[in-house]
Amino acid sequence: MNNTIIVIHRSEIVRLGMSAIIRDLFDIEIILLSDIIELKNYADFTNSRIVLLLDAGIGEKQISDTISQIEKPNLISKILIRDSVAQSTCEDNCDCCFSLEVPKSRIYDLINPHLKHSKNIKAKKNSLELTDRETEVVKLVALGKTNKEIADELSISFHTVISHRKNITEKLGIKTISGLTVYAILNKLIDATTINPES
Amino acid sequence: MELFNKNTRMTELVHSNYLLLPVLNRFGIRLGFHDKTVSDVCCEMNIDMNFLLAIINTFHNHNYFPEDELQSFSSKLIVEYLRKSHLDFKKVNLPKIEGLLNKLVQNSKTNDLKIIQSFYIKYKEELLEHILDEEENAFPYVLELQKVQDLNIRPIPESISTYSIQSFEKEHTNVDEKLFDLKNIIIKYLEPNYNDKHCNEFLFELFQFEREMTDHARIEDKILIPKVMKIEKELKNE
Repeated sequence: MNNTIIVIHRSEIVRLGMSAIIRDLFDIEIILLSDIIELKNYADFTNSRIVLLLDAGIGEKQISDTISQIEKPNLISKILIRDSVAQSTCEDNCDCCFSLEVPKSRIYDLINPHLKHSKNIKAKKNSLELTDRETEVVKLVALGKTNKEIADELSISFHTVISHRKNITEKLGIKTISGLTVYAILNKLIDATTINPES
Repeated sequence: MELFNKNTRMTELVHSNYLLLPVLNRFGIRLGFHDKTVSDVCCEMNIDMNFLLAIINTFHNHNYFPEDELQSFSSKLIVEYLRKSHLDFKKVNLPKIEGLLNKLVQNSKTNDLKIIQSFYIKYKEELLEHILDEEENAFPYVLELQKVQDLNIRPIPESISTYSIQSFEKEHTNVDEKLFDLKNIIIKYLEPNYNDKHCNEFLFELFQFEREMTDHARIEDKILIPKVMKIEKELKNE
């Protein structure tokens, strides 16, 4: 089962900051959204554990409506991000909450209990290894598939493919398609005889 | 980092950064400096001193990049310098890199390098195509445009009015990224049965070439293109 953390917050600074901190702490897929409406563009949550980090300003009804549209996720945790400790929120329906004043060192303890721990999730430590899904994506990229084709083949959304591609480039330090092809051949992900690295 | 100025001795300049040697050659400057300063050499050889200083200072110090000053130089000077760099890339850097890579492949027992070699060939072809396109299309257009502005030629010839620099110049990104990938793949993923000496030589050359390319791309993207776009705008607004 996959873990996915989704940060939904109106402030880009908060989104990027949370993403940097989470990346530091966990080896996990992160999706950043400015509006909860965009969540419906992500259709492939089947069989995954989702941790939502939500802007505390988002209405409870909007949250539950959107969540009900997500296809059978195994489990969703909701964590609210308040602007300050003083902001009042409805906490009945969330699993925990923290404010922007929280120190970075506390975030691990706040998020960790909501993640499903398997061997795929190392409570990180600088893992730059590709996840199984990312490896799949590299293979398909190396075979010359477009993002759209990859999305169809793996039954995931276009956006998710983009997000995988971003993570792959970041982890491997390889930006071009032909570079990824060479990587895939060197690491025996694909058979060199079936493909021309010059293309 | 201190900037070179007109009183800097040429000898001192080379001592502080020997990678400037090919840059100096592009201005026709050659060794045997005695105690000559930058200004002496420029006077003697009729070189635009401010342009030379701008080019060597930006090359030497990556954080130094006075865009306004750089854009004040004539397109002709800039294009001339870029053309000479192209010539170096074609006649010196690329053949040297290729030769070193061939040697590395011959002296190593891993098949990985053959794959890397075909990646390099693809990169080289793409780069040469990009260079050719600039030489044959973009640069002549830029020179013509500058002439129209300098000599105040009216009406503006069709060869200028129907084009813009953006129709010629594509961003460098993809070619530059390939060079970076090439380097990084070797550093991160090469299998151990390769020849150390040949591999180091090849990588040294790649690093140096990357530096040249970065500097070159910066002059095109941050100086030449904005400068040309400004002239285009002025001509259009008449």
